[in-house]
Amino acid sequence: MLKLVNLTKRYGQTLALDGFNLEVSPGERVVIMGPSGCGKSTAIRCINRLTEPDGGEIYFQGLSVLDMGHRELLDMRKRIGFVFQHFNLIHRLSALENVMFGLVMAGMDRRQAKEQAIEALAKVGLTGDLDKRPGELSGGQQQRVGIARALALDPVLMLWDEPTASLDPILVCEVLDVMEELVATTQTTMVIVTHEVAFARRAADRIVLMDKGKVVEEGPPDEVFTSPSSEVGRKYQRLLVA
Amino acid sequence: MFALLRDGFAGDLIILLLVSILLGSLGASAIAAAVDNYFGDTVNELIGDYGEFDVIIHVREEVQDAAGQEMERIVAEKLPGAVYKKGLTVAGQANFFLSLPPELRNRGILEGLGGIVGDLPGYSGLTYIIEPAITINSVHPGVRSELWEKMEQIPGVDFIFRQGNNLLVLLDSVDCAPQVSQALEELLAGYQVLEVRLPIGYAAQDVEALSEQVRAGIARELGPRVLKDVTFARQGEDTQSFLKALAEMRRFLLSYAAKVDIHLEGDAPLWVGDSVIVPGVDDPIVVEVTEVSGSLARGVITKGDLRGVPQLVQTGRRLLASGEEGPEVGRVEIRNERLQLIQTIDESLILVGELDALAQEAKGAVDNAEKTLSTFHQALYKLEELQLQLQTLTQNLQPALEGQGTSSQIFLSLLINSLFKDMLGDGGSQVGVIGDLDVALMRDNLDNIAARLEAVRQVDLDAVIHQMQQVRDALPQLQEEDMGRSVRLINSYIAGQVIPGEKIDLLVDDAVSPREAERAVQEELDNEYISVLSTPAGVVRPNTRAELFRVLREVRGIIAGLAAIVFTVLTLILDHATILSAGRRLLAGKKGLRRVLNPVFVFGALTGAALLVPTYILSRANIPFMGLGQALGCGLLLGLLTALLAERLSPVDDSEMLAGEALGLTYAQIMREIVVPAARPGLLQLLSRCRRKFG
Ligand SMILES: Nc1ncnc2c1ncn2[C@@H]1O[C@H](COP(=O)(O)OP(=O)(O)OP(=O)(O)O)[C@@H](O)[C@H]1O
Ligand SMILES: [Mg+2]
Repeated sequence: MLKLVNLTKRYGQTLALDGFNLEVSPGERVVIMGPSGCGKSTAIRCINRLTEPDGGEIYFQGLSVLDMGHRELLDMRKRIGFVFQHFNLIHRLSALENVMFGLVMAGMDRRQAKEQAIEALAKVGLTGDLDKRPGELSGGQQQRVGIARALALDPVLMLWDEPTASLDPILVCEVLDVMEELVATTQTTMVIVTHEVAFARRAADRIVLMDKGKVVEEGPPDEVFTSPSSEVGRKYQRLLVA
Repeated sequence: MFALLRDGFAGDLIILLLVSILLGSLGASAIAAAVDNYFGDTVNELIGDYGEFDVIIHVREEVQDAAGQEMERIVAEKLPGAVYKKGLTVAGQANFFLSLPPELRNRGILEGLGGIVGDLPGYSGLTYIIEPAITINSVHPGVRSELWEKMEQIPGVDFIFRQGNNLLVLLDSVDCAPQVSQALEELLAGYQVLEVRLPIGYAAQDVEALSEQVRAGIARELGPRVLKDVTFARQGEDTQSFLKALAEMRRFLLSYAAKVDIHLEGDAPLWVGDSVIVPGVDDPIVVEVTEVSGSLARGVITKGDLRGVPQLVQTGRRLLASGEEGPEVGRVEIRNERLQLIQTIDESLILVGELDALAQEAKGAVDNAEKTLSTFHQALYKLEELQLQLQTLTQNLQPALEGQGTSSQIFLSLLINSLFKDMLGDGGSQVGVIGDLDVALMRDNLDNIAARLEAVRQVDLDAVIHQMQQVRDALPQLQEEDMGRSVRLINSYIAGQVIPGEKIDLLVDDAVSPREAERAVQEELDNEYISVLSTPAGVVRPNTRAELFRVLREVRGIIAGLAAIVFTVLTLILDHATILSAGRRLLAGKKGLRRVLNPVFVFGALTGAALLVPTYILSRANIPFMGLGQALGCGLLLGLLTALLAERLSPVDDSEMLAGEALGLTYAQIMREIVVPAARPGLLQLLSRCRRKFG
């Protein structure tokens, strides 16, 4: 359902993506791993064109994303949930409103949006504190609101860009639990960027290892972590053993 | 950047611009109007309500009390019915506001007011604020009288009075001001004053002649409707008559000064201004050359005297600058004109003294005609001789008779004329034929003559004699050198005054092209360095009050302009900086963002211009040197500056916008729901509140 072909992206002198290829089947959970700065975020943001790639092709549900018009692109984005590393919540809105936001903007009736938002929040284990502003919530709660926001749209594809990277270890578990729960209970296709090796091993159908803007190794978690063929893979293997 | 305008945000932006412009214009106008009102009130306080007062009399502050008392006295005595009020003291000057009653509102009083209040202690001048009036500035004195009558005939003009070089035209009512003003302008536009500038050092010996030549040239080439020399007028009328008197004085002096002819013989040329030395009676005589034509030069004695010698012919030598005698220049002939005149008058005095007795004798001896006749004949012969001499004299003095000569000249001329009339009837004709008369015819005429002589007796001869003696005594007792020096002095004075900077002012009609006039004069005088400039005959000015209000309007315009700029800057910072900042973030790294001409900067500049220009126009702003072009430039610049500083002026939360994008929101939604509510409160926030779905 998603196919990235030979993506390139350059930031001045930095080559963030250097012929990146990825194919994701419906319902598949792909975890992208790689050292910091290797282009993971860039790659995942290119999917819904939050970042415009310089070259390559992107196909989503058979449609060329880069050839989409403005309207089509906006429609497509509504079908893709995005979870940010830094939550990216709207500060002036309450937790509930943040989740309702996308729905109402998409034209949904306010009451229905509220119901759907509460439902999504319940899925991430948030039932109280719904009127609080993001600033009044803990990091874990904030990220769960972020996840609920993505879930509320009932997306066909969910993109996760290091959802736990800016949380302290205790809160990381809180979010990872929610994520594992989602993986277990839904059929949603997911592309997850994370450094959580253990989580990746448990949740991923496929691990994609990146270095310097391109894929260096991919395969099922067991294969990649037990007999890595790449330098990056061996580093993660060591990490797992430790 | 322009992609931001999609999805309906363009509408928001247009509404924002319109409301900003509207509010900006209203705000700028209001501020300007407030300032205007404030100053307007101040002006009213300063110079009273329209038409309330006619004149402000300025007095030095420290003596204002004394001046006030004196003012009371003057008004009571000389300006009955006038009202005065002490106004504000400004810059060390106390001001008395004077209002004249209708019967005192006339030219005489208004022009003479300076004289009437001039004795006030600490008096330092007048300002006319009389209304309704139109002031005409810098009316050329030579045009004044010419225009005065025509101006008075313009409908709506009450009367006119003069203040220095300005004319104040009083109107019947303020309503006719525009028409009268236009009529005055049209009238003045019919004239121009041409300044003929002669090159420095242009040897203009006779200004009148030069002017005549210039005028002849212009008249021939251009045939103007009006052509008048107004050079003297520039000096003011008093100076003018003084200069004319001086010119007559010079003529007078010259007609009695010794005539010096120098018949040039040497090789070395003689120039005007050179000195020639001649052995005199006792001391040598020095002659200054005033005129050279061919081999004949003329001059005046500047040193030495003839000492009663009627004529002197000597060889002259050049007087060198060192004071030594130089080479011979030729034969110098000096005739003592004054001496000849004195002799003539002496003779006529004797004759007149004898006239009475002569007439009696002639009458009583009609029978003894032949004897008498021969005696009489002789007397008449002498008279004829006298007459010839007097005729020469009269010719010399003729100009004096026409102009305002010195009193002695006028007297002399009168005397000579009456003398001829009384003695000889119609003048010289009879005297001329006396010599050829035969005695028989003479006898026939004798009765006639006797009758005339009787008439002569009726004349108060004693008085005539007395007056003639006075003239004789009054004839300059000056030495020749004194006369020469006086002439030189007058020359230099007149030369300095008549053509300061050596120019001639001509009044001509507007059809004359200064350029063509210049060419005509250059050709006429054969000198290409002469230039001709045209100046207006007068400039119609709005009255004092209008002038003040014009200045106020200017201030208003400037303040409105500044307010428009301030308002634009505020709107740019509060509203558009946010939009531009968001635009920069949203479109960063997106396709179509060119590096060379960054669309954000273009957008910012256009926004600045779109704000400032209409606000500037609508608030009727008017800053000197800032027309619409400059306003446009200013707007573009302010907008560009805002775009450059946008992210610092109004930082936007990147992560929130990114979340919005990820949710598939349009730019308009992102702006309305995410960017604007988080930004500084401004007009945009206020306007988008109603379109916002959250909050
Ligand atoms: N907006 C940007 N401007 C300039 N350079 C950028 C920008 N975004 C990313 N980069 C550079 O591109 C390269 C890839 O960045 P990217 O964020 O995709 O890496 P990453 O794998 O997500 O790293 P991390 O694990 O730290 O999140 C990095 O060298 C980064 O410095
Ligand atoms: Mg990253």
